[in-house]
Amino acid sequence: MIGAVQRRRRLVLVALLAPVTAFLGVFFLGPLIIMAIFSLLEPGLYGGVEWTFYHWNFGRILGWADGVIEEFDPVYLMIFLRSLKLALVTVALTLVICYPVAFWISRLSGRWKTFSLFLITLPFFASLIVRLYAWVMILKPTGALNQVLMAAGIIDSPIEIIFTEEAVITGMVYVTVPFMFLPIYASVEKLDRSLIEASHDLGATRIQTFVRVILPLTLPGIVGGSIIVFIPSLGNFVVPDILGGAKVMMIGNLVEQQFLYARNWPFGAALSMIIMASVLVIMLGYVSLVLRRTGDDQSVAV
Amino acid sequence: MTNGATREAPVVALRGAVKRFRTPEGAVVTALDGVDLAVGENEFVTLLGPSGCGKTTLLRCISGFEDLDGGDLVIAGRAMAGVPAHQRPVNTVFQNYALFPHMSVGANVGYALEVAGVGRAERRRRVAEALALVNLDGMERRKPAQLSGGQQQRVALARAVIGKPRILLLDEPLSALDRRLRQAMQLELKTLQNELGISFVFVTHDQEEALTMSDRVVVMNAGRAQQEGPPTEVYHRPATAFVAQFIGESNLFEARIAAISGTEVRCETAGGLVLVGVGAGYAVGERVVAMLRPEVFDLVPEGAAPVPDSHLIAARLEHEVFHGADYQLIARTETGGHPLRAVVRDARREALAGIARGARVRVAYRARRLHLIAGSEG
Repeated sequence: MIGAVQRRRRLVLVALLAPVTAFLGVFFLGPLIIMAIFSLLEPGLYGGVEWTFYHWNFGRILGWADGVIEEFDPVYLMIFLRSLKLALVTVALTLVICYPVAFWISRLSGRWKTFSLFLITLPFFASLIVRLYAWVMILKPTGALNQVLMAAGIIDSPIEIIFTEEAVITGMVYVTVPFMFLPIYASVEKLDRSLIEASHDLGATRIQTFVRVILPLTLPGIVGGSIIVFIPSLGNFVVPDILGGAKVMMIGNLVEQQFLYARNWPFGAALSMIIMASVLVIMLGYVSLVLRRTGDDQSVAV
Repeated sequence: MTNGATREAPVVALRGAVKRFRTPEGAVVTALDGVDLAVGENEFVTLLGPSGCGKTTLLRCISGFEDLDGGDLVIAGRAMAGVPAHQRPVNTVFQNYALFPHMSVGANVGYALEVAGVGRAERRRRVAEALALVNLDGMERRKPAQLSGGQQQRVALARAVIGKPRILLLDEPLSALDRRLRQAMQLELKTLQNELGISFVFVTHDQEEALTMSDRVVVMNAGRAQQEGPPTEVYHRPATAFVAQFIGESNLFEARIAAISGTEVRCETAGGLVLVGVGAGYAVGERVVAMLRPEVFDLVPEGAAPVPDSHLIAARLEHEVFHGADYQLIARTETGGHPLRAVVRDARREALAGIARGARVRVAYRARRLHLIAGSEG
């Protein structure tokens, strides 16, 4: 009897998991394996690949090369480090913006709360490309920002913002703010106000209460938000393409170029592999650091 | 016994406390409407009232989570206006305990010492002491989520008393516990209060809790203190009809004083039921509410004579409810048709076997058990 029930349960489980497993297997794992294989093959003369083992793709990036066909060029590492910097700055800025706002919105009364949450998701209703071109309109030398600043007498001549790292950061922060906000909001909303009162009641100052109670209890939201902002920011190529122009190239643009223009698929694949590996390492390091600091095994749900 | 000290140096002195809230709709609600409260050294005071009567607001004003809109508050000789919660010599046991879920029991209990900068060794010693006080020795390393409701309650208590506050505020701390545990905790709380010598201000809507534990009960309704006094006085001599109804069961009769002879006061309801009590200072024709607790009645069999000095009420039985140790008779008086509740010991009920619904029953009460509430608005 029990055996039959268990077998039935297992069948139901398999049936429920089968579609998603098949989908991810075909559309996620498959391409990933292809990429991994391609990154170790020789680029074809006119695109495509030659089926011979070829580790120079990684050599070009990481520092070994035969010096004949493939040259080591530190520019790739520079681009990678710049992308890392921009992604980290984006995470930091979105965090600084979203954390206080999440507290503020969680204290609003029902109707205003719903309305504010709606406003935060509102950008998703318009195409990303359109929204980024709107930023071009705002940031360009004759754009809204410069005109307002000049009319107000703060600056005499237009400042150059568009096609700088600052413009790219502005765009990336703008795009990723909702992704940082929602997980933080979820953990702030869950925070029991009586815990804050209890802390004050027991003699803790506002700062002590923040460090000992509020921060640890909202940490899962901070960690979750940081991860889902950091990963797409690091590989982003749309924002730097539109707001960074040719001057601010990020690792995502490099990959895009290799696949679409240079037609060096193995090299593009090798770059992608390195991005993925470093994201994995950074995330694991980050999460284990957070876990060790709080000493809590349940606080982080990734 | 503690009242003498109360009058001299109250630990908490609240005068004319007023607190108003604005509802989301914009209306202003007066939660506290001029409340006075004095809590003496080592006194157990209970604020008792229905939900929304202002008792929790009063507590939050003492702890500093709310500011008073009027009146003043002095704790341990120091005016509290503008003093934030974390600087008040007051700790609170919250209704939901509010234990920090990310900290161990030990860290929770030691929190007040930690934020005050007490060293690790002393902290550890005092945490162990506080846990021993609430019978949770050696539970330091557990997480609050691993404890039962009763244990969490004790942790909350230990955490609140470790800093040796002058006053401990308890906001319906027992309401989440089941009945048996609640009764055990009532006794423990009382014992703990005696051991620690801290004044307790206890908020509850449960009259049994209030009567069991308190040195003094303050009955509140609609933002005002209706009556304050020792439990027996509040129970037997309620000052208003509200108090009479809120605490325990009572039969209330709106009546007028019909005749006074010596200390004997006769009053008569609109339906013509005459009730006899004892008292002084009443005038003939004055409106009163006469109160008889259900347990003051004695069931008198038909034909038998009542105990001397007692007065009879005849009624028709409508329901009888068995409560275990006793029966509750729900009846209607023959004169005036007033509803009447009487509690009869199960043992006495045996003697009257055969009395059915609709039958005539006679109950007797002594005049001094009848309590008159003067000039009550009903």
